[in-house]
Amino acid sequence: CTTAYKPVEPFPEKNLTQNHDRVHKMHRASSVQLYTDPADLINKPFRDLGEVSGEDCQASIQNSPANLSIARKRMQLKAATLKANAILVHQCEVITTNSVCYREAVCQGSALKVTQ
Amino acid sequence: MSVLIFLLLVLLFCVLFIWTKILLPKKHLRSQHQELNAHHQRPLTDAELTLCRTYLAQRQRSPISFTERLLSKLNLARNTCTLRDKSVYTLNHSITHYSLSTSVPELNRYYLDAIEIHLPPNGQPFITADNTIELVYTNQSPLVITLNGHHLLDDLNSSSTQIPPSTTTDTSIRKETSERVAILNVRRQTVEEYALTHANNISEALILCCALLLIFCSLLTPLKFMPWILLASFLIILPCLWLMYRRPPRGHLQEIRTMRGRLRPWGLFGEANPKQQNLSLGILDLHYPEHWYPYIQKDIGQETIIEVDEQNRVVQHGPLLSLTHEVKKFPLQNWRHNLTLAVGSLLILIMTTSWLPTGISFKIALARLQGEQRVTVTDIDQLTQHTLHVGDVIDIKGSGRCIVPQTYQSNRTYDFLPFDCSAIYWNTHLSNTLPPSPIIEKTQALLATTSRQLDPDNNDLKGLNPQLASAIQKSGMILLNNFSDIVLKTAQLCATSQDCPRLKSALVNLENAKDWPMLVEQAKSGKLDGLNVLLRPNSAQNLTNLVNVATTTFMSKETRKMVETLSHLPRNGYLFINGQGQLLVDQEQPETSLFDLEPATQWKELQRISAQLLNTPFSLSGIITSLQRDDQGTLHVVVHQQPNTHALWRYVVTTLFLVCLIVLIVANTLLGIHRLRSNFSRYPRIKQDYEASLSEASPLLLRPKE
Repeated sequence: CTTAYKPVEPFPEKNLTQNHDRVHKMHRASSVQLYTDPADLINKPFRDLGEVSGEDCQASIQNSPANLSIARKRMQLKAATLKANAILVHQCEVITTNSVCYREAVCQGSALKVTQ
Repeated sequence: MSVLIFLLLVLLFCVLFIWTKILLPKKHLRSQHQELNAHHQRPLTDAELTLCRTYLAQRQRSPISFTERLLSKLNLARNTCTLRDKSVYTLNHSITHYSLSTSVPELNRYYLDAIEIHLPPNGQPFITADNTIELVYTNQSPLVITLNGHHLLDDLNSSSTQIPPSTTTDTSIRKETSERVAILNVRRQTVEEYALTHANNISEALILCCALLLIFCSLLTPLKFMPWILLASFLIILPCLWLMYRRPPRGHLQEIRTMRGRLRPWGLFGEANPKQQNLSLGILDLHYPEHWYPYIQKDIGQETIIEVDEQNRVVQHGPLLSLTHEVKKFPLQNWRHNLTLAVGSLLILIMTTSWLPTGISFKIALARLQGEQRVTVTDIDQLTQHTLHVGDVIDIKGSGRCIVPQTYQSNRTYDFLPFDCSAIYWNTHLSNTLPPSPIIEKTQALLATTSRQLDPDNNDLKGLNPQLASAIQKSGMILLNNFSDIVLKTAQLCATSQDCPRLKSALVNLENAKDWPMLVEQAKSGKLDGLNVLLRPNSAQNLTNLVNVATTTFMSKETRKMVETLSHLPRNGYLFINGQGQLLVDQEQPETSLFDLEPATQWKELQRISAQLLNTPFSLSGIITSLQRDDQGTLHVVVHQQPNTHALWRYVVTTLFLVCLIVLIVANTLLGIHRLRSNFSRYPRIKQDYEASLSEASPLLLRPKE
């Protein structure tokens, strides 16, 4: 039986970009510094880019529990898209909402552009 | 001040009185007592005391003529012989007796060495070679009460022989064959001899100076005291002048004794040093005027007739050498009196001119005498039509500008600092606002932006999203939401590199910039727009302090510069100055003086007070005492309150006093110098006169009278 030999093909471009995107997103998210106390901003002049938030929804009781770090990550991502390099986290909590999600992890903060 | 001087004068008189009337006599008595060397002392018994007083009273000669009776009343204390103290002193001593006349016993003279004593007339027979004497001290010569055991006063009292008061001064010359010294005559001092003993007397000059000082004090005192103090000073001046020019009363003239005897030199080794020759007649040590020594050498060892006073000073030697003749022919030159009076008057003149407004007094008194022009105006154009003169009376109402003096006097108070409203500048077109100051504007801009951003009470967080704003508010932090504006405003104010170093470095640290120029560059290029800086409250306070210090420095400098600018008046116009420092405006006075305020608020206060006083209504009336035009063309008019009658009298008295002082200084200085020069040439002229007289005089004349 013969197997058809196919030449080695480069990864499919689409996957690379998808990985690249996911890696890039991971990189951009991690480049956004998280501050929890306004005092952390002493000696760090900043610009306020607006409020950002991140959520992680637990659709039903059977689903995996709402994860705050995911919510935080998503917040950082949003901040990164605003070209912020820091977030002053106002609050992160898991709330029970009577809407779509059985429980939801929500993180809120202000996206800041801190001058280095 | 004048009361103090017055008290000092009274004190001075008391000291002089105590010194002359009490201390000097005591000192004289002590020296006399030491010389007598008494070996025993006992108190006077009552009987002896009564006898002494009776005897001394009887000895008192009753004045004959009316003036003698009057003067003796004046000099009662000096003429009356009284006991000095109530003790009897016993001593052993030989008595030297000069008998002038046997018919008039009381004209005999008795000496214990050089001290003259008084021996009652009945004591002479009891004199022995060595005598035991009991005596008491009187204010004249000591009185012998017991001689060799004989109580003289008792004997006198029992024989109740009344001592004939000497009415005549007949003299007789006892022919003395042996070497003994004879008293040929006793007379009173001549006026010239008396003047010689007071040749260097300056006490009258000092008294006159004290009187002038009293007049000066009267000019300082309130007007109701002035006449009384003036009266007191004239009551000092008039008697003093009388004392200076009157003939000395008889009681003051010493006794002069004409004596004949052989002059003996008693120098230690007999060398005759003409400068300090010591000669004696009998036991009397004679004191010759130095300039006579060349002329008396030939009389040493010869029988000579001389006249001596109570201190054994020779006043006449032979027929030629006579002090009276000298004074008559070459009058005494008491230049010390004149120069003392001149110096005293000069000192008082200096005190007067420095403590009293003498210039003003002179001008007002003069103006009153010449009659003055009255000028009443309410508009500057009206004033320009008048020609003002010193002494004119002016009455002006208008709107002018208080001046800012170049220097402030320490002895005055200024109610509207930095302005002095006792001087008004009057001209047309006066603005009442301060000229604009860019520095102040920049300073106020920086203060405004920092206070807006740093004020914890109303920290402006509008530019932030609500959550961030509330988070910051909750944290109590202070947010600078317009950091760029602070940097730019600081850069405008602190333009040079030396300005505001600490503020600049604080801003550089806050933004983590490389250095200040870079930070300013970023601010200018807009890179800092929208940048927020979060501060802890204490950092915010520090930044506030840094901004205040920086702005205060600029505001103080600018306020002073503005005050300096205000002190320069525009050209021309009139500057009215109230010579008594009284205010010419009726404005509400600030509670706190400008320079006592915080530097930051000084500028606002300066603006407020300038608006009030740069063009303010004023009113001025008085008499012009000075007119002067400065190089800016501004006419300075010094005005004094119109003197009421009392003040006018004070000005007139002050002016007369000044004229009197000047006359005294000039006259006494010229007279003093003239007398000083005459005094220097006096002795040479006396010598020339004597030499001329000696060359003309025949030998006969030089032999003593038989």
